[in-house]
Amino acid sequence: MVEKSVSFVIEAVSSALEMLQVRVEEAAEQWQLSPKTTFQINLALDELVTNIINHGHGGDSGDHFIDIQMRMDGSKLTIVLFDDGPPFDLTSAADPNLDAALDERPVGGLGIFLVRQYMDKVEYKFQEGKNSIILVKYCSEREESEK
Amino acid sequence: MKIEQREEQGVMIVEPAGRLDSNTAPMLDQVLESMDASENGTHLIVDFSSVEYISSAGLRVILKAVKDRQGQAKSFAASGMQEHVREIFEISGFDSFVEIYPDFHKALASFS
Repeated sequence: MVEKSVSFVIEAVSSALEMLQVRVEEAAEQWQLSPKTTFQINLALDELVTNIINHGHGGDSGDHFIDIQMRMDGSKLTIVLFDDGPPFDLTSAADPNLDAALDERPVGGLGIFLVRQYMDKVEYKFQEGKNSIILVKYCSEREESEK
Repeated sequence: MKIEQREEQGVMIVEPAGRLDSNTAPMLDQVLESMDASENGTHLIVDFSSVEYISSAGLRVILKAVKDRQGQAKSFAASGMQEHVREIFEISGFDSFVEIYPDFHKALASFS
C-alpha cells in the first residue's frame, strides 16, 4: 500500500545529508516520481537543511533535530520542515544578480535561489516556537501510478 | 567523494566523483587551491562526468576557483556534465563565465 504521507527526523548536522537523500529517494520511489523531480526535491531539501545547520544552529553543534513531513495529494507534493533553532526566515534572502560581472558576483546566496527555481511555492512561518518552511511542488512528470 | 588529478598535454585535469555538496565541496576547494598555487596550473579542466549531484556549495567552490584564476590570467574549463548538473550551472548563470564542453577531450582541444 502506498502511504500518502511520509515523515522523518534528522539530526541538524551535515553528516545527516546522506540519510536525507536516502529518505527522499524512498518516498520518491513509492510515489513514482521521475528522476528529475527526485533530484530537484533532493536539492531543495539539501539546500534548506544546510542553511538550517549553518545559520540556525551555528554549525554542527548537535542536539538539534529537523522534522520533515512530505505529503502527496494527486500531483501536489507538500513538504514541511520544522526546526527548533532561533527564528530565522531564510526565504527572505534576495536572489543573487545573475547578470553581474564575475568580479561582482558574491560567493553565495545561490542555495535559496535554487530552491525557488525548483519548487512551485516556498513559504516561511514561525509557529509554536518552531521555524517552518513549507514547500509545494506540482509533480506533473510523475510516472503513471495506476495501471 | 573521490577526486582524481592528472596532467595531459600540459593541462591539469581534476575529476571529482560522487556528490558535490556541503560535506564534500571543501575537499574540492582544497584540491583546486593547491592546483592554483602550483606552477603547472596554467590551464585547468574540471571534468564533471562522474559527478552525480551538485548543490550550491559545489557551485561556490567553482565560482571561487574561476575568480582566483581570472585574477592571474589562468584559464578554466568544465566538461562532461550530466544534464541535471548542467541545468544547475545554467539556472545559476554560471555558463556565462565557465566554458562547458561535452567531454574533456573537447575541453583539452580548446587549449591547443
